[in-house]
Amino acid sequence: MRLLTNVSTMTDIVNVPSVSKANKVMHSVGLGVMNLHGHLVQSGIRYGSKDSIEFIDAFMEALNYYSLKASMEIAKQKNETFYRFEESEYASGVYFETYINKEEKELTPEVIKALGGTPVITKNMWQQLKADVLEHGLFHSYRLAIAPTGSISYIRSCTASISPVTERVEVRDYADSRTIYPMPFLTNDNQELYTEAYEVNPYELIDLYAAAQKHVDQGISMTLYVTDQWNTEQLAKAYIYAWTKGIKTVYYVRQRLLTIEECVACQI
Amino acid sequence: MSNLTYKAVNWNTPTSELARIFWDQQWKQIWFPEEIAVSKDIKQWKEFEHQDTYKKVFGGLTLLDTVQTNIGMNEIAKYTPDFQEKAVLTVFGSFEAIHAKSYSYIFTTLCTNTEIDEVFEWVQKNEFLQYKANRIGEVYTAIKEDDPESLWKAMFASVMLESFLFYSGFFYPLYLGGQGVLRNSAEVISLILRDESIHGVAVGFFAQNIFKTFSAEKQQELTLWGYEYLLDLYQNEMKYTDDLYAETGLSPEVKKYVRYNANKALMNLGLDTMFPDEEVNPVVMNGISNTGSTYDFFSQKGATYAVAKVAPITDDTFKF
Repeated sequence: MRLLTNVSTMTDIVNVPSVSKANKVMHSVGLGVMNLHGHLVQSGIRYGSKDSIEFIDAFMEALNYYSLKASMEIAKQKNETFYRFEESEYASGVYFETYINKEEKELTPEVIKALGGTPVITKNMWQQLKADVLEHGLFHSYRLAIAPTGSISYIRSCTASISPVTERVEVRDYADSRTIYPMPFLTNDNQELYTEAYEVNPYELIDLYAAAQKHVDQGISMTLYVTDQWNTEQLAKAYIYAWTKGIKTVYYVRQRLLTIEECVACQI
Repeated sequence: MSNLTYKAVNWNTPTSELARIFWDQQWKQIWFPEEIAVSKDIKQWKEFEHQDTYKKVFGGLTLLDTVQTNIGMNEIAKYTPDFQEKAVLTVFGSFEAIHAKSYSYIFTTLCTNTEIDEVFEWVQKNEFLQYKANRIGEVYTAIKEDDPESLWKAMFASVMLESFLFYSGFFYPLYLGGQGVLRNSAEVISLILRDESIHGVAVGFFAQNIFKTFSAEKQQELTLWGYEYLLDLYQNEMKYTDDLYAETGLSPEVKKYVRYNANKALMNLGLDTMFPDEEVNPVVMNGISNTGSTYDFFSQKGATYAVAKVAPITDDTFKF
């Protein structure tokens, strides 16, 4: 958060005055995450499973908690909050209600193992943070953003964003070049867990994104993965389901074609 | 005025086992060459070493697709008795026309008018290319009314063309594209391949249905004819490949790929393969996979998009 804050405060795009002004008063940053699928594979958890959803829920809650804490501390240190903080739900304390009144549930050993050093945030911790925020305010109007990373992830040996991998060995056509990219740490033993996005149940995918979205103050761009066997009604159903679950945007729909052999095979 | 009774095609009842599937699949993947930004290849093209080979490869492909549009699919459709299969074959013919046009689109983008004229002249003069077109064309034009045998032979020839003979040409753009050279032209080829693989499977399937109706002796006779025909085309193809790829040193690689596809053509026709398994250049093998790649939404239209089937939204759509 500090690093992003420094970038924001050191940046002044003078040729776009509106951006320059917004940056000066709102201090928005976008802390994000990547390598969800890679991490789940290493933790032995299937993407889309109940454990994977509990993991992302607990992990994103912690990210939200610590980014708020950092923002509060920066506000305290700089003695400055974002513009009209006083009128926000952070200042009124409403924002924290769902966290303070949440049901503290037992996580499975698999989820705890996957969380590693990430603490599980308790109601008491939220209560304390609320008090601190009410006292010192927040420096950033917006803090979190999960970008649909691709190339950046791969350079870091990560899978993209919080999305499932599109192919175990990805054929990647970007700009005018083609890269063949095997997923990070792919082996014969873990390839089963590297479920390709087109084989992930789309409703589980939406549930997973919805669990993350609860803790993110900006919209997460979610991609749907379908095959050419899908009709418009099935697509509409997935969109409607996503909306009911609080997904902010279905960013794109990627489509995979079945081969003619597959089409014929599924008819006979 | 004639006094014939014309019959109408009735899609209400399936008259052919898979016609509708082939029809749906082909239309779903409709595309136009202009959707691909071949002009992005111009910069690389200017410094590309084997321009001559590349141009001739595309010249050869243009000829084959022209034969397939003007004679192949038309003749086969004309004599195919089933109305639904006839319709499917006519659609295939339209796609062949798109393919033939797409090579011109690449030529127009990359080459000068004089160069283009030279390529088309070369097409008419190259003996191996002309031999290939003649051998295929003569079987197409020999189909007779109510003669399943000649129709089967034409279908055999069509599968040879689409699953086997095209591939000596497809090799080069796939080989280069797989290495990041002239990627956009390679993309056009991927789209063509995606269609040809349907055509090969479909015509092969229709041919197998006709084949089943023949007596055992007739089947044996036709199988023999088929293998001899393939062998003759194969020998010509080896010479064509040597001639075409001489300056690139790729000839042995291309020949392996050609044999691989000859086997595939035979499989489409339900016949035993002819050549032993060999390892084909993985860059090229990767290029024939047509399930699509992961691509950047901002600069490309991917090869994987297909037109969706429309289904109405009902109350059940809102029940999860």
